[in-house]
Amino acid sequence: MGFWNKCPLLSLVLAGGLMITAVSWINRNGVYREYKGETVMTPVLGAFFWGIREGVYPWTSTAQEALAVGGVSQAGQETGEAVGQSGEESVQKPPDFEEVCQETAGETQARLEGEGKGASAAQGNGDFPPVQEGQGEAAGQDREEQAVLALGPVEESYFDDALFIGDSRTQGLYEYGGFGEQVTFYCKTSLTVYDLFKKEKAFIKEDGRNITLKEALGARSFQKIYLMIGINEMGTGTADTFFGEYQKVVREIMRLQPDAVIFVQAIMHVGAQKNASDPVFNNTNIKERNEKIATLADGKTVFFLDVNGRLCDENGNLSEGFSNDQVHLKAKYYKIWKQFLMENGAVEAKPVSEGIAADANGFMEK
Amino acid sequence: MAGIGTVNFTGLNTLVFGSLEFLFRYLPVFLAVYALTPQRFRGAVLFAGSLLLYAVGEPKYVLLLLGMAVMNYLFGKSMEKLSVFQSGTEKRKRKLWLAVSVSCNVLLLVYFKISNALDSGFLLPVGLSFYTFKSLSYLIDVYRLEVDVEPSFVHFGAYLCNFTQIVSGPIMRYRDAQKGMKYGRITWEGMEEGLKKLVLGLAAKVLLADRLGILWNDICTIGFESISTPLAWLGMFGYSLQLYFDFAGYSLIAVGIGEMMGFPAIQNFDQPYASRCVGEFYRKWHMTLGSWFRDYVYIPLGGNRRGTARTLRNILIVWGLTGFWHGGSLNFVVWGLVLAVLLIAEKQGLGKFLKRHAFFSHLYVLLLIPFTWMIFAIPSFADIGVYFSRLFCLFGSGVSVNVNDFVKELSAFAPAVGAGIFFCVPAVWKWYERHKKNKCVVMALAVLFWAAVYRITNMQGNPFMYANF
Repeated sequence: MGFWNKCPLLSLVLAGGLMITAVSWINRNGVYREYKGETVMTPVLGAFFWGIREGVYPWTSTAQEALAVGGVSQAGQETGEAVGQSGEESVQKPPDFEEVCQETAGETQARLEGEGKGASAAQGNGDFPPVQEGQGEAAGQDREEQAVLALGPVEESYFDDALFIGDSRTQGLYEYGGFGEQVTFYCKTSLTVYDLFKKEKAFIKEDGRNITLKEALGARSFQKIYLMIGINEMGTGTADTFFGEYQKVVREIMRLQPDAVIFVQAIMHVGAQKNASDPVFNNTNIKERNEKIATLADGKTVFFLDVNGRLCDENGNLSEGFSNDQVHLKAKYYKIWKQFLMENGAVEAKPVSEGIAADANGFMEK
Repeated sequence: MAGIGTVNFTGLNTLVFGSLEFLFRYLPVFLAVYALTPQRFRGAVLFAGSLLLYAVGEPKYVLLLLGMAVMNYLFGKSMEKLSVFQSGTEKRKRKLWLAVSVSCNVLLLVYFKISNALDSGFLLPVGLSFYTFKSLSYLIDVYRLEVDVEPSFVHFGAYLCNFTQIVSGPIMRYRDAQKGMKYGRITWEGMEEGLKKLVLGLAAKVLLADRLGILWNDICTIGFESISTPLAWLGMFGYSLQLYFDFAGYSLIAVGIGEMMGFPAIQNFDQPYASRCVGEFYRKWHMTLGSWFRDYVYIPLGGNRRGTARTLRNILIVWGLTGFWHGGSLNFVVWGLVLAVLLIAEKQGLGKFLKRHAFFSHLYVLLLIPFTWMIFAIPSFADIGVYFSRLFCLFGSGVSVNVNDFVKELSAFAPAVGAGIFFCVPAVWKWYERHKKNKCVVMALAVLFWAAVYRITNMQGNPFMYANF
């Protein structure tokens, strides 16, 4: 008691340190096994604090921990965003999204037709499971009747029913791109592809509440959906694990928004200094991911857009004067991105044969 | 952020006070060993421990540090042999040794400062500005016979390399270091008191300054030409608070650890933002640097005792040098000179006016000092111009401004800015001093400590995991 009275702060710090170290050590192969910070140099008690951030506590069951952390850690969320609304969702969600992704296309068709939604959006090129025969015909016929799309210039009004999803780069586009208020943005700094559906992150503010992307897409309908995401999760996992989730995300978006055209955007590059010095956040790794993202384009529902051509120098690094921090554009350069998007909307392409047929018809009708 | 705030280590994080490695590996082990060591060997423990920490944190330049210790130790010894009461030649030799030793130190500092100014990729060795100034203060004190030459290289090395002060000061005088090492008593009360300072400094730096740093970072990312005027003002005040809590916090940690080791407590900051004139501000901001320039430059030049013209010249020289010490690039020198002009104006009558008008004087300080921080913080004059044009909404400037930026940043940073302002009020600290032994206050400090550790773990632990774009 004498020591406590003489040195209360020291007592608290020492006692606290010992307790937290003990708790972290005991659980180091349990709930804290994902903590990668511990080395010879750093103390194990860091795991306890890391856990609090991830929503993992000493009493969390390992199943819950797996859901919360899921093999990849959440990025931090510090910037101008109000930090208070982190809104960590309960980790005990029913994984119906997982079930959806494991459906075959046939099951999807059956389910959606059961729900009266007709031809599903479960189309795509080789990465998606092929549509089964009988149902495929019906679906195929529906698709054929839709216009053929190509990339071409569009007006401002094109974006009135558009949705932009992404991380802080998209946030910058929202704040400085010059889009009107009617254009919808669901974006947040530090957003990762896992936050979109898997972790059910309620990052969208609607009517004073925070809702998840699934809820938002269930409530409204968009004709065009733009997606740029992928830089925040580069520190964990691989390009393949990233792309696995990315595919699922795009599929789910297509399922929830069957009428929408999806624009998957290449991850914006970083500046030359960062590219040269950072072992993780460099353009080689970004390009690897962008190449995978590009494979999702099918020219019908999913289009791939790469704005890097407009923003980078001859070495493929974000141009020197365009950014102050090697990662984000300065405010005045976001209009370049908007301009690029306005030149690459999905518009109805006039097939060459139609023109000739018309002439032929006209000719023939004579 | 240029200047003191950014330190780049070539090695591990060990020299960063706000790191888990330092707080939970190095510090407890060092303190235990130091406390258990008999007094006469403590200098050796401090020297070895400091060198080891430096070698791990800044391996590229540890030999430079060691070399400087050797060189300055020998310079001191060389002056010892020549007593001042001897013949004129001895006296001249002594002066020569002083000139040589001072030149060596100064040239080294100038070389690195200018190289860094010319090429921002060329980084200064950690602590260079501080340990060269410590060396100079020792050499000049020896020359003036104010301090006995240190016979032991180990003790001199311990003084120079002292890990608590090497990164960011305070610039402790040799006299005080001697007291600490040779006669300092380590007591539980001292440990407790020192720990309180450590916790306060850590909280100030990690919970307040680092958070405010994000605001400034956001503004730099947007680009000065694109911030709204309200945001420009918010950013300026936010930066002023950030710089203070970062630097004062670090100093407090250094002093606190020193106290835990039995060193005398020194003060580096004393409620500067409560000052009523710029002169007073700089008597309360980075006090050990101010007193260094006063004792080793201003007074030798004549101070204010050689007439007005000389005084003004001396002020300009001291502040030009102060600016250069902070950074070799021109904006720092201009920063120093702008302050010199203000100080001169205050000496010439403005000061008397400020003394008579309390409210105005506070307004004066709380506006002008932040303005000068913008010159300090922004390396390019063009950018400084842009920033000021946004502050005063000049020429309809502003490109791609988002009018909602202020609301967004304010809502995110209002708590931090509010807390910053709160902790600049002297009454708050007076209250703390009266009540710091209260168990509730102590528990609040413990909570602050673990909150800071939480933030350190999740922000700095692993750059791979917690980058956020």
